[in-house]
Amino acid sequence: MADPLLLIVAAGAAYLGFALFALSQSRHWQQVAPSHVAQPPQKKALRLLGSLALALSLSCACLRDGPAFGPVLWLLLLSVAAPLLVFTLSWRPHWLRRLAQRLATSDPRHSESIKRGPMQRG
Amino acid sequence: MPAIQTQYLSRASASLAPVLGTVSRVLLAVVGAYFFTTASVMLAARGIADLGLMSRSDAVVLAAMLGFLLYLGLLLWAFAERRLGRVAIVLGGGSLLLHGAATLLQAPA
Amino acid sequence: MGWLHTWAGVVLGSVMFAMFWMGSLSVFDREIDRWMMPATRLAAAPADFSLDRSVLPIAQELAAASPQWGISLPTERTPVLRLNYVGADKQRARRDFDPTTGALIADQGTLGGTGFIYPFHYMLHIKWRQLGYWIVGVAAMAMLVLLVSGVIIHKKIFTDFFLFRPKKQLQRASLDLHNLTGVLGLPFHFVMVLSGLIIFMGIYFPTAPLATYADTPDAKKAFSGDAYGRYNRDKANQPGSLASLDGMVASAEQQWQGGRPFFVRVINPADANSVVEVRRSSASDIMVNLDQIYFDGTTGAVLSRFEAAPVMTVQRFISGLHLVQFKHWALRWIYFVLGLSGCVMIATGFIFWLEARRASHAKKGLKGVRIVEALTVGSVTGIIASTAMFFVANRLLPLDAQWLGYERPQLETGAFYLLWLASFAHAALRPRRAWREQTAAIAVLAVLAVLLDALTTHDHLSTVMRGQWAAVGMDGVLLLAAVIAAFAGRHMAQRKPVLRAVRSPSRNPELEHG
Repeated sequence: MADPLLLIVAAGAAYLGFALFALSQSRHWQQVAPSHVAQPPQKKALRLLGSLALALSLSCACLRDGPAFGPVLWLLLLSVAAPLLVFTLSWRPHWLRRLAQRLATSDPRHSESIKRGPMQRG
Repeated sequence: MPAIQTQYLSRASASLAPVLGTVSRVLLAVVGAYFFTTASVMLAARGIADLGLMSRSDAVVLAAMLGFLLYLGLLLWAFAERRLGRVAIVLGGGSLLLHGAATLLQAPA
Repeated sequence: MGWLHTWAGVVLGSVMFAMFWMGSLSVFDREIDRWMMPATRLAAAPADFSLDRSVLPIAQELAAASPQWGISLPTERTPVLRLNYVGADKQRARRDFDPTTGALIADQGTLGGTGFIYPFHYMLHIKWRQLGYWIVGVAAMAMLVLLVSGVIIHKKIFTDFFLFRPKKQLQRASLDLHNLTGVLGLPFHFVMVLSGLIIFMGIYFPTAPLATYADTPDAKKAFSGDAYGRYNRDKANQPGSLASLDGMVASAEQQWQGGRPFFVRVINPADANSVVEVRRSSASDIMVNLDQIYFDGTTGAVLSRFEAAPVMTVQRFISGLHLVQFKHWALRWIYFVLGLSGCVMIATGFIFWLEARRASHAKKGLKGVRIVEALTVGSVTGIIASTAMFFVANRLLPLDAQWLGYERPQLETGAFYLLWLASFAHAALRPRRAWREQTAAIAVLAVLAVLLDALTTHDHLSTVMRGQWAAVGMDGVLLLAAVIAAFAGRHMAQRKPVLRAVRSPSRNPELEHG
């Protein structure tokens, strides 16, 4: 039972990692959570969390498949997770809204990093 | 291919020079760089083997694997380099020289 | 670089798409084999399988006159015993057996995935002077150039990393998708193309060993013996009998510390100097190993043992990354999906080229767009429809089919090539409707293939029960392909690319005429 579970966690963490990286870009934060809904946290924090998620993904892949297959599985999972995240952003951005709200900060100091141009359409 | 020609012909009002330049660059890149690479692979394999770091077959395998990357680099350079003359000298002259050296090494001792 | 990227892509994109398409399918070549050869949809071989009891009697009967015979052992993906030998008519022959019963499996009359789709991927079935390998090699080198030059001209890789705007005009959306599949798939595609070239280094750099092996009479032969292993000894010309093959296999497994054999060859089986070669399976490693042990056939003593040298081991690891011979279903599916993402990258590159020029070519009366569009449609939807046709023909033709002197396997591939040619003609004659009509053809043919499989193999639902996942998976993928094709066809019908391209010219002229 551990094998499928580790695979799911590895894939999910890869997806989450890319989601955090995407949210660190103003353009994609706007897509997911327009600035009147939630203020973005610091970009550095998002990217750090994203890196941690990708590291978790690597650990799970290596735990499941060992040092030879693990990194290969991880790299290929990344190549699949990234486009899946992109399609989520394009077609179902609201799926990520709850994640963005969890991460959001009301601290106005960080809101200046958002460009207040016309909202990006899907 | 006809699309390339028609475009160039209409732009350069029937002047053949740019077409010839393009054709020679493509030929130099694809064929010239290939022969430059094969000669380099032969020489590198012999060189690595003579250094005694690994077995003869491994030296050939290493040189051949790196050969693909060398060919890729040469291809990109042949298209990025503005001066066609330089491409011709390096890839044309270079591959002749390297092949000469490789042929000398192939003579049984 | 923009110029190079554009024209190398347009000129060689068709070959590249064929390579990527057939390569993606080759990831499941053995599963396709099971689907196309229903009699080989067998249960796994029994654990106490014995070469001496199951194989030897068959080989001694069929291959009595053969100077050597080889047996591929049953595996999870290929659950048959495959015997290769030279028949009484001096022709190479191949017979499949059920490893459980030892019964001969009737010739399924097809090249299948391993015989047609997989070789198509690396040599296009053009055997003359290895021309097929060279065309593939040129296209592969061009693909490496395209991947690198694509990164160079893209410029905003990290800003646009997650960017895809499907609702924008077709030209913009296809460029986004081209960049997306190109950038995110880059590590996979680069490694796959480079490793594909490295597998065939002997073909692409035939002169490589000449200077190093100058002191040997045949440099290439000496090199390949050193690198890939080879052993043989002369016949004694005295009769001899074989010792236990099972004993030799057990000895090999012990020397490999648990490594399993996948292939056993007996050279000069009836001679006193017979040799038994045992090769090690790569199912548990990424690397496709070259481990081989040669036994004295009459005594079972080890004559010679081979393992790849260190750099060659690296070469076999790189080859293994490409060849996917390991047992890892998650990775196998990801390979399949990422291979198809390469197909999307090539197709969207074509579409972007077409959309960027459609309006201006129409205005200037240039034919480039029409020619390239016919080429694109035939290379993309055409080859997919033809592959579905290959599967349909496989299920339609009776086992003993023959026509105009062509055997059944040639009839199947003939159906593939005829429909492929027709798809180019169709695209040239009906440029506006070709995309839509060919996606419709894909959907219909894929569904037809599933229906025919159900009708002709009778055991359809029970395949699920018996764990015949190869056939079940193949049907599932065909149905999914039909849905995607129908969806894509509808999507294309709704778009009016010509009008849109005229109304909203691109904001990126550099890429348009690069």
